[in-house]
Amino acid sequence: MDYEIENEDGVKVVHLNGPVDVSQAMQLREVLGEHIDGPGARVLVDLSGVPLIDSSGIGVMVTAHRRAAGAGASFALAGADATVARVFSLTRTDKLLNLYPEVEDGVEALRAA
Amino acid sequence: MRSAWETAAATVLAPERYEERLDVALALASEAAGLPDAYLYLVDASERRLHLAQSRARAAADPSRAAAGPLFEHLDGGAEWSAPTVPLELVRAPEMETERNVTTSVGTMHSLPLHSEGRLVGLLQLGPLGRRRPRRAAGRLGELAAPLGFVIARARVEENFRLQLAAAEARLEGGRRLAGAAVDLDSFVGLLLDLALNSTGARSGFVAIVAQPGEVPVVRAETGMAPGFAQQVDLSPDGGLFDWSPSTEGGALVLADFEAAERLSLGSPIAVPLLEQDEPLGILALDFGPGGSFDENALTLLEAFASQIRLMLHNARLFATFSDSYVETVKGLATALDARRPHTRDHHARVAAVAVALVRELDGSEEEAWALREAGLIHDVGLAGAIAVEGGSDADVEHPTLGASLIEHLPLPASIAGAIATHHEWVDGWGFPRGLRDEEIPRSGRILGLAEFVVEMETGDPVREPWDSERIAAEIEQRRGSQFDPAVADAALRLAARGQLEPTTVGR
Repeated sequence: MDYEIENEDGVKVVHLNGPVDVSQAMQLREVLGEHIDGPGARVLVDLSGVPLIDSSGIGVMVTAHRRAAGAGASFALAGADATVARVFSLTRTDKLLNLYPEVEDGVEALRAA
Repeated sequence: MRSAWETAAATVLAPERYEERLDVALALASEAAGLPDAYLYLVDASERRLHLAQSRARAAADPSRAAAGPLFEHLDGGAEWSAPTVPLELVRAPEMETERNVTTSVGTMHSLPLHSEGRLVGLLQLGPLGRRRPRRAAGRLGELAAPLGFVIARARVEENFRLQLAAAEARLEGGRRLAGAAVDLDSFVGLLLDLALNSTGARSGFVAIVAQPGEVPVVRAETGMAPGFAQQVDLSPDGGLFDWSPSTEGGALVLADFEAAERLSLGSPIAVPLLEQDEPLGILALDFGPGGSFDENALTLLEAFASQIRLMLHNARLFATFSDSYVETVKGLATALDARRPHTRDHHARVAAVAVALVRELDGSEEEAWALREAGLIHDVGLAGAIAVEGGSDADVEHPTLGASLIEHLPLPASIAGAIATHHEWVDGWGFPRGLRDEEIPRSGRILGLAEFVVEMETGDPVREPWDSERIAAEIEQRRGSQFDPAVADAALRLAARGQLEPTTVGR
């Protein structure tokens, strides 16, 4: 897994590339933690380049979500393909996280937040 | 226009039932070849033989074979099914791997091998071939061979999976009758886990179950996990491997302790919460290895297994609740029987207490003590049925069997029904109702038998004065090795020597 960060109208978009499993979870946690740095921070994870995500990847997203909520920041995910979306629903995290179909939808929603 | 692959997959896999799928495959081949008779042979598990799995034949040749349909329908009309018939089994031969014409008992047939992933899965025989075979049809049939091989292989995998699942369910039902709930729950969960691993291609996995609401899930089945996984993994809801969010947030399950995940050699786990109305019942986790290798299909299967295990846990809990109240009813009946006569008052409670004291003296486990207590509280309940049966004394002899039959279908340790059924057996084979000897009598029955003897003798009845503890000890000593198991008798004698078999101290 590698990543790229772009700033789109005040929203930090983290584009992930490659599968997210146990071996990358720690790194991803640090990256997201760094950007969810306080009130007003807006972070969107672009999952469109992620073919697979497991419970550890989902765990990082939930941790980031809670951290953002605690810090008064906004956090969302977008662009999950069918397999990745399935993992969210199997683990029931789709009810917990802010998921958007497309990156543009996510950016728009976070800008309005 | 649809390709042969699309046609084959869409039409053959459309019906739900396996037999119908095979029949559609045959119809498709028969139509493409322009030949009315079609037989499908499938390679069996030994890979050395092929079995006739499905057939379609002309109406003209034999009226009983008129309807195209599953094989058994033809066989049902066996008496009218006149020769010639095709063999039900073929021995696999190298020449079967190539398309050719063969002479069979029903005429010359076109034989078409079906392959999937490079392996022979079956053989299609189409005919009858007259003097010439329609050339165009041959081309269309050739196109169908690969897709048919693929879809038939898939239909078989799905059918095997369905059968395995059905077998597993049947095993649960059977297991419930034979052993305690805890035992068959584990074996059934283990079975489902292995099926889940096989069908999803996961590398390893485990199932953890919450024994009582609010407790930490405990690993009850694991396959392929790192050595010591079950002992080392911390599944507590706060600070454990997984974070289990409260039901108000949807009851989601996510991996929270990444260091532990690496330490436990997890690669790419998907852990699914098993919930009943937001109450956690357990966790099903499959590990697909580093980088993961699962697709949507695997996730669909994972979900199917999760709901299967969830359903089973739900049923197990329902059954346990039912079982508890049923056992209480049986105990109530036993107590009511005791109250009918002065000399049997508290009989069941006192026998239970002596039996527990004997288990402790024999260094038995707490589980064994519990089982003997339950057996003691129920053991003579069969006498309730004895009175109504003709020939009263014979019926009395059967009261252990009758009593055991009242509870043996429940998910309880087998030693409870065993103790009730055998508490009048003697180790020398002179007891009743079956005349069992020594180890044929379960230990629980040997203990319960002695416990009842003590209570009956120290109570007395209308024709016999109660015995004192010295007399009881002397009788036990004398019957040691004939009526009583020597080890159990010795335990009773030690208790008696310490004054712990007195009616005032035990069961009162």
